Amino acid sequence: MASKQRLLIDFSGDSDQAIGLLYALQSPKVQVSGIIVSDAEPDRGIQLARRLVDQVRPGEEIPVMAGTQQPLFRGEADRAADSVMTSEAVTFLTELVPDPDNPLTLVTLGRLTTVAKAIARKPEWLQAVQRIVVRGGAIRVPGDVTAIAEANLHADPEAAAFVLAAKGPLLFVPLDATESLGLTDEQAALLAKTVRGTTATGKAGTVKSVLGAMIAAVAPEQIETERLKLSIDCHSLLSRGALIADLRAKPSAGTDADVCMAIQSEAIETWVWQLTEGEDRA
Amino acid sequence: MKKVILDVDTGIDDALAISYAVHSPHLEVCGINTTFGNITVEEATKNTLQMLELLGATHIPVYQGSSRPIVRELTGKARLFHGENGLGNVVLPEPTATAQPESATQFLISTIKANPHQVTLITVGSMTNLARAIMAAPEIVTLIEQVVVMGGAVSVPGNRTPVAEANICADPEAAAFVFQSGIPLTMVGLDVTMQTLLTRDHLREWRALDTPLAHVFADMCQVYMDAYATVGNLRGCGLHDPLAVGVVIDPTFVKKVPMHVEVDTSGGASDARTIGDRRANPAKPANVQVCLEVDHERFVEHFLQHVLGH
Repeated sequence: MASKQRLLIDFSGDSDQAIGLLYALQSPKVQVSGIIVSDAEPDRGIQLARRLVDQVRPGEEIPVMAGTQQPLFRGEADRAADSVMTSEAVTFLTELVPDPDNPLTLVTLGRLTTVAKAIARKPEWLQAVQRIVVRGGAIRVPGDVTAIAEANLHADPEAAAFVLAAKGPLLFVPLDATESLGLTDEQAALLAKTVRGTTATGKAGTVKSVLGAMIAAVAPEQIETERLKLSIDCHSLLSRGALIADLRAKPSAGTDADVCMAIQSEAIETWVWQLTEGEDRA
Repeated sequence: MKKVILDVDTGIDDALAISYAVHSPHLEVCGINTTFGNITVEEATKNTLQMLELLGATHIPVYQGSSRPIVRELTGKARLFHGENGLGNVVLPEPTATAQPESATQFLISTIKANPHQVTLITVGSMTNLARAIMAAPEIVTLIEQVVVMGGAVSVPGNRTPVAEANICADPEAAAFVFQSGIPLTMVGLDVTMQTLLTRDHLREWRALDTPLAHVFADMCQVYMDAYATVGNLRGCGLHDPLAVGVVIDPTFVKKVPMHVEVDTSGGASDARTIGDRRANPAKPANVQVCLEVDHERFVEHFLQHVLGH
């Protein structure tokens, strides 16, 4: 019996990342089991997610909940309420129970704070997920916030390092794997408009890596992975948030994790084409 | 002839680089500065004097440099690669000459000032002497022709850590200081040096020549290659330091890309990484010419033709 791939999606609420949500909701192979919005202002993301669910899967009960609002470490002056409260999403994750007949994949499209806090609270829930697909990092290619760091890991390096150290079933999807996906800035902007319904910028690099992470989550047969020793820099002014892979002939430094190195892009390009062409005609 | 000063931590590939430079008809080696790195500075001085006597080049003065990094404590030596004495445990006769009374830093400053826009410095060890010279006499930044640095790795893995190269590891603050000083800098890093290869076949050819120098180099490089094999490089050893000399002899051996490069000094996982901004729109203007491609066949052939002299 071909059962659907169950998916939990943790995103920041922005429209570029919501394109990944749209992709999952539209995929006939996927059952979206929950949507987490990890953002300082989760309400806008929650509204956006609910609207997309209503549009694509009307009548379907998909929990949409707030994750952690702030990264693990932040300035003293910036203390938000969620530092003393457990977010709805952390509770949700820690209450997951294994269901071997219906494997569950968690995809993080934004920073890893919510996942880190849930692991800290009750690591046993990791048994309930078959895969955690992490959109993040840049190994051989330049970063997108600094010369070497990618935005998601840079936004909360300590959370990412904590999750890596927990040795869950991680699959990193770094910019290395998604840069070559065929997607123009115009298509990215159109996709962003599709989810936002208003003018939204749509950065091709972000949209490509979001869709790349979704492919890695729902169609593992379309990706190539490598097991690498990884570390995440949390200490350096210059290198903070960098994903470091030990690529020496005899690697010795870091924690083993799977890394997506290449993605077959035809499926994603067809999906993007259909959606953006439709938008053009509308 | 191009005036060059070598700054070495002699070391096996340093010895090759010295021999290559001394035998090149295009270079006038004004002097050799020593530093710590592969070994202590005292050992580097002794090994350099011994090498010059073996080469019959005792007219080249040797200046002893810094014994420790500008900020940190001195850390361990690279015995695995360079043997206990730095020369692959090949024992050469005790040197008859001694180092000059002047320090490496003083020599560097005075030579650059006496020959404005004519001196090229080639550093193949820690960058400590140069950092101290710039601290002491910032005007040399505009008076030197250029600095060619063997060190760092921008687009390839490190050799000391996943991201850091050994010469930068020896004194990260010195490297960081030099890189941000505005001095004209060419970086000959692992990006290109790991593409150059001295093989066991080359060593057999040297032994067949049956000269004292060829035997010494073959014996030293044997140790170096065995060390390479233990870290997974089975085909031979990289010609790191000689390539820095080669780039001065013939700049067309490499392709350079102007880039903004900063050195990490955090002491953590990224310590001593040379971070090149390879983004389409880098945040800061270029401060280094980074060698990213090398015509390794042409370089290795040239090196083999000249390293042993005539």
